[in-house]
Amino acid sequence: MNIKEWVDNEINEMARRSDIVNFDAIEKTMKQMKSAGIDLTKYTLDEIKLAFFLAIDDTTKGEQHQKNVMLRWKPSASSEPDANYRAYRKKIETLLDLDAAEVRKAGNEKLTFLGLYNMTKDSQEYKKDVKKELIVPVK
Amino acid sequence: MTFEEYAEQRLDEAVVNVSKTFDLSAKLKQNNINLDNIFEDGAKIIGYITHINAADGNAAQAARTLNVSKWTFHSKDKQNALNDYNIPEKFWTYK
Repeated sequence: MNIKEWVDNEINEMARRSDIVNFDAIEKTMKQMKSAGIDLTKYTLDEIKLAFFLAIDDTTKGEQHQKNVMLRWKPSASSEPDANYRAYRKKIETLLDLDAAEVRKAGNEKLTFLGLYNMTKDSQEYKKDVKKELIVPVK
Repeated sequence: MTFEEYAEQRLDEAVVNVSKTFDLSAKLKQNNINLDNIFEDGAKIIGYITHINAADGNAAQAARTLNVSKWTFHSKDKQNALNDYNIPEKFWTYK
């Protein structure tokens, strides 16, 4: 599969999931952000996705926290590394660790997801956790 | 190229600024931005709309600032993210 084919598949996946898209909610959120002076043009798509996920994760309460977060997030089925709560949390935890320990030390706050992905993928403990706690409530 | 290989390549290109990401998350929370019924797809769409509007419909510029594939906003045969999500035209200035 070349990159163009993969992108086409990704777009087909978007079309398949378009029934969960709520444009009224999107418009409302965008208006709120505009009023609050939040300018998303300064952020990449990955930064936006992670920030939205973090905000949902931090404001979602309840005993079944992970399940509740995933119900409010519904990750894309095609985004395999992102397709469950543990994967998102692991990325964020890794970001936090690196931010504190190495990134600041190096004076560089930019990280690649490949590095994060490899770290999680190589961890046997993480693999076990993902299997055990896999939550993919897509439809 | 397998999906995993592609994902690794794509993810390698995806650079995340840690401070900016956490700062945006904090702003969303501080301002009580309602994220109900947004989901991951909604977050992506909000990113697409914001950047294509800021670029005044310039697909290449929007893809660059959003750090996504150039095909995301590609106009040829209208197979792009804006059309396939059925994003109403009132949200975008894409030409």
